[in-house]
Amino acid sequence: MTAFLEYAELFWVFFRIGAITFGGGLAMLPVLERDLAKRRSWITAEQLVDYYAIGQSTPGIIAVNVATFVGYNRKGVRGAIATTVGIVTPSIIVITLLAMFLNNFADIVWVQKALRGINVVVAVLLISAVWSVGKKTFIDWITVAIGIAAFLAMTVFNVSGVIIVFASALLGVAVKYRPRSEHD
Amino acid sequence: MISLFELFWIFFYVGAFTIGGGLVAITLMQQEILGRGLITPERFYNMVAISESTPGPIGVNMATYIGYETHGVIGGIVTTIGTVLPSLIVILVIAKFFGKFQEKRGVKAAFYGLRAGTTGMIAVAAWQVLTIAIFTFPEFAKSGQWTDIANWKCLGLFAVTLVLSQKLKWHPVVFIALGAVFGVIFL
Repeated sequence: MTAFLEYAELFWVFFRIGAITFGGGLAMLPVLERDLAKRRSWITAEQLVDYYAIGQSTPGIIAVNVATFVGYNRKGVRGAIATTVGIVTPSIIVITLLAMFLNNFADIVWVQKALRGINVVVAVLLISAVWSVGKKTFIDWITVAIGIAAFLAMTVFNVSGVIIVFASALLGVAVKYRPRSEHD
Repeated sequence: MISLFELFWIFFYVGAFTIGGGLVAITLMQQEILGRGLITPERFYNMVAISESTPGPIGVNMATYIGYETHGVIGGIVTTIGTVLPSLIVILVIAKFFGKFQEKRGVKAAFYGLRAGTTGMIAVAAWQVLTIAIFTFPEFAKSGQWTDIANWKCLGLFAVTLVLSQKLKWHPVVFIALGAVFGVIFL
């Protein structure tokens, strides 16, 4: 029974995350950080960033990848299934209902107005999330430089996320493995 | 009419080749679904708009929607499973081995750089939402007037939310709900 409750909790936590996040995987970060790292200490903020990095460079939708990862680390394969089903269930319910009854949902004026307000809040939440994650990931001037370079590569030169993931990992290895410290 | 089985595999393919987020998934769906003429382009873009305006990952919303349109409720569930299954398999394999390799020096070194790069990418997402939500650069370019550079009501909401979210440790969903109410009343 307690095992069942643990799976139910995993499902429920991710169900809620799926139900309240607008704008895709990255917009989920503030909620994940609060619900998983701060409130429950299921994972650390650093682990969350690791999962995003892995989610970004592996097949699939990033939010789902992060959910699967957290679920597996909590309760193995069954945990992964509980979190994955949890995160997609709100989509299935909401979209099915809208497709049945409200085909022009996105054209409704007050829906557009509400979304404009939501977008502003999401911007605030994301900036705070970048701030609190950055305090843990930007630990010296090299990491600050990598972060700024990644930002510019993406915004100015339109470099894809996968390339940034691999380039920053290689840079990390290059910095940590300077020639003389190779043998240990 | 496409069979449910075939539909499942189309979305499995989409899930397997989506690397880097929801927009990639939409491009693949566009190729596969519009290419086969399963849905009219107009309908498809209407679905994209709805998927972006509803909670949940956009790729999952789109999959559910297309599945529902072609095969009803069961179709929506089947396409969602199809989209999610490749992630589930790949991540399970990685998660199984990641724990073992996590403490290796090389992996640690890679993640030292990777965490910083990923934080930079998350900052890009924050920047993009910020520019869409608050700044109105196209209008400014057209009129050349500084007052057109931002939506001032949105900027006000941004400033107030920023201060409140630092002072009050409310759950993000409370701020999201307040943002929606503000939008309906003032925007």
